[in-house]
Amino acid sequence: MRQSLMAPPADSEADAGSRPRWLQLPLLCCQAAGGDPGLAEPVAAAWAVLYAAAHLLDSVEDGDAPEPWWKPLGPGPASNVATGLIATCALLLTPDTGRPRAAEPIRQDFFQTVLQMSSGQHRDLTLASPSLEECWQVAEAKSGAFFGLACRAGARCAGIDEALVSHYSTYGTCLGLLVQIGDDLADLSGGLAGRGPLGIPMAYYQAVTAAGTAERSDRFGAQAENAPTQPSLELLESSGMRLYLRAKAHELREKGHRALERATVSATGADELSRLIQSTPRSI
Amino acid sequence: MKLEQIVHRVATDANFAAAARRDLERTMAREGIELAPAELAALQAALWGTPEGAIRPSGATPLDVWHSPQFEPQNS
Repeated sequence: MRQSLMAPPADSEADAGSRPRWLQLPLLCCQAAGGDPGLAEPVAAAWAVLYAAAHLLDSVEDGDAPEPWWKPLGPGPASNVATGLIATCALLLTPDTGRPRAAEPIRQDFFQTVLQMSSGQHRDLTLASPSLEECWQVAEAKSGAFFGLACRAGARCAGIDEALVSHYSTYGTCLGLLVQIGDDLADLSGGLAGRGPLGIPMAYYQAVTAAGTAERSDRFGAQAENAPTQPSLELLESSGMRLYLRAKAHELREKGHRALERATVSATGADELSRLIQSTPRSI
Repeated sequence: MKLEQIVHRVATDANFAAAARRDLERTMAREGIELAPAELAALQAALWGTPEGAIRPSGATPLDVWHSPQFEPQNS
């Protein structure tokens, strides 16, 4: 399962400067929680660096095509760059990060989240044929946890109560899962030939073709009877995969909006957060 | 029944899909299918196919719009 982080995403999930739109997440959450977004700048920088490290490691570990800048280096040196980025992230999280009492919880949260993501990545790399439920669990442990961290860290810089911080965490987790849906669909647009496991869309297909044989139409059933391990894109599309992802996206957006409504103090950042979750992914 | 199984049924059973598009709740009840309210609303929104963003400013949910007179199911 690919997780597009620093690379300009294929479906234009980037702002005018070709940076992913969500690099501002900690600042927006701090602002929505009633804080000065400037207080969240070190956290936003640390998260952006971690974002780059996670993307790089994910690409290397998944055996994805290298980006131009590290193609001549190869995967070994690229992994070493990622290690350096993680150390840089740690150095950016100084005792002055955010507010005085927020710095240590923020720092701990960063590295507990890295552990959680590593655990999710381990499952992603070692599960031969993950079920749909396992795919969602992995996505939550990776993208969900990572975006939840950005939102928690930003909100903590505003000095709000932990009960309110949890709502930002929920919002971020939902946003991260929506980003994952977008990434999985972008992967599909590149075609299926010669590809490995393709995340949630493929797990959906496997779940419904295994469980719903008796309910399938003749057209679908006839093809699925001798279904290859990797179905054609047409077969995947005709299985209802996009309708399923649209329904899941709606569910995640509603949950994210509700969390935001419970936590918001300032409409300034919240409006942008609301727009962000509503437009992620851009299309399904 | 899980959401993915219902979605697959919609994708592969034209009669079920037509009934679900007319009135999802009634179709589900008739077939004895249970789904969590959030998933039901999500499926309804996905079936209806309207961008959620166009609905949100008025405060109406997809369910509200679905049940508006304009979208009253046709008795057939």
